Amino acid sequence: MIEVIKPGIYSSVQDQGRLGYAVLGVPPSGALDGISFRLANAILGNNSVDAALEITFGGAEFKFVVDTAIAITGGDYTASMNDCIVPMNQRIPVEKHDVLRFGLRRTGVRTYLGVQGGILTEKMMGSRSYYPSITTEFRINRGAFIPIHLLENNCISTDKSIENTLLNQVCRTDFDPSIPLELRAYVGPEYSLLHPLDRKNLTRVFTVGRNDRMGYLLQESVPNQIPPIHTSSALPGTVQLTPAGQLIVLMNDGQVTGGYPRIFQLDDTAKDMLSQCAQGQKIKFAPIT
Amino acid sequence: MNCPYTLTYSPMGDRALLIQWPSRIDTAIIEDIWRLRSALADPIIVDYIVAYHSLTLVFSSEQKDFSPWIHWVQERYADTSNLEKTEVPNKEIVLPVYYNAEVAPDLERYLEHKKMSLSEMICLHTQQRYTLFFYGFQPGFMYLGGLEAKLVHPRKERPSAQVRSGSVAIGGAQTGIYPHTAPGGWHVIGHCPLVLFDPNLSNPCVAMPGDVIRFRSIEQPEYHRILEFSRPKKNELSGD
Repeated sequence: MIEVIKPGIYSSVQDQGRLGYAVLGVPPSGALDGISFRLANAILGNNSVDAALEITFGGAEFKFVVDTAIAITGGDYTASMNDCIVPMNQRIPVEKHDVLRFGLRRTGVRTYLGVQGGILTEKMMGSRSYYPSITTEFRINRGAFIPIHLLENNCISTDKSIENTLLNQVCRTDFDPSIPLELRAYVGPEYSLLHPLDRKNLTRVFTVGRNDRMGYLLQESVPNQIPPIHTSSALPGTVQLTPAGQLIVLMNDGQVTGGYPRIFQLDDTAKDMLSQCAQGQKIKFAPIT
Repeated sequence: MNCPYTLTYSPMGDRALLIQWPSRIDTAIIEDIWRLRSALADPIIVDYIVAYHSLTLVFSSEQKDFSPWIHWVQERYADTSNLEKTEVPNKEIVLPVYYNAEVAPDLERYLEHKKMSLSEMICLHTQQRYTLFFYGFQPGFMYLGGLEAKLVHPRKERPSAQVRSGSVAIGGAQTGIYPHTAPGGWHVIGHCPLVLFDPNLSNPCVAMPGDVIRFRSIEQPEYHRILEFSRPKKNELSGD
């Protein structure tokens, strides 16, 4: 068990997501930064789908009730164990009564706390990912006890090759907010309906606005003359254009269908990178041709 | 080959393929989509998203080239189209609705705008047979076809911050029930006391796409009786 001393602004249990239920209107959910999530599991020798905690904007504090091992990946919020700073992206042995605290923000938005063998909260419709109306909780609360896998022995077999591949991918979160972050994007199904002049506007620099697990709003508006479309599919990474000209990038808890034209589709890596961008970050779409 | 519609194929990024039918809301098209959907299965396809005139296949890994998949879908489409159509009788599901301002915050304003009496509205809303086209927007949210033209009413300009779960509402030419409390722009005209989405059940939704939904007007005593009976009892639900 892990005792939640402070839950932080928004923390939830996430895994690879709830796949196979989109026909019932159920979003995929799952870790927003999939690369960092998989890295935590690879470091610990876990299955790639074992559940971890996703901590948004730090501020969380946990007390371990049992011996285990953890890995912290994604956003760097100066984690400390019993007041000693601990490293990111490494296996850290933990003893009963140890206290893990997240402090000042250094980089990123979402931190993944993986534990050896994974978190064992309820599995609903094939996944432990929190989602309101499907799991009992949609965020972790102060005073809660989070069940984790109990270590039988302390030997682990980590696959260094997976770990290194993931580390070499874009597992960076240290973006300079003023330098536009390039997000690789395919054109979306309704892109061709845009007026050629309006397409040009999409090459500009945008600023990240309000965001949560459902989606990211971009602050700047662009002209939009596309007539309304019938409700159709939407995916994590789909960039929608509202009638008012606002761009919305859907994330993992976003609805599976929507009525707004789909202008771009981010590739998975770009979607993961965006999930580590805070409000104010400059971004640019880099079309994949 | 005797394919009823010409389909278009467009990749959505490198992990999804969007298949589109002619762009309209049409019972024949949605039936055709579900027919093709049931003929497609591959372990690499992890999700299928159905909407009015589209079917989206979501793949578990990046695809460099979708053309083999497009070819596969075209073949399956031709096969299913040539099959003798066996008419499977669809289920009819009747949902109780309490049409009363007590549970429907927009009811009075709606009737005022429509210059309609409550009994006339109830009659129009309950006489129709609605086809369940697909689920979307929220887990268990039904997209229903067949709203009586006289009941059509544009969505609110400003969505309500909170629409209570079970709310029966009208938005534009659509009607439906909010299975979960959420912000929403439709006009709430009644309340259904049943739980419409239960993730503890192997079949979390009350109806399957293609089924026919009908509404039945109920009075306050029955409403409260059903509400009491259908309220999920915490910790008594068993997983399956």
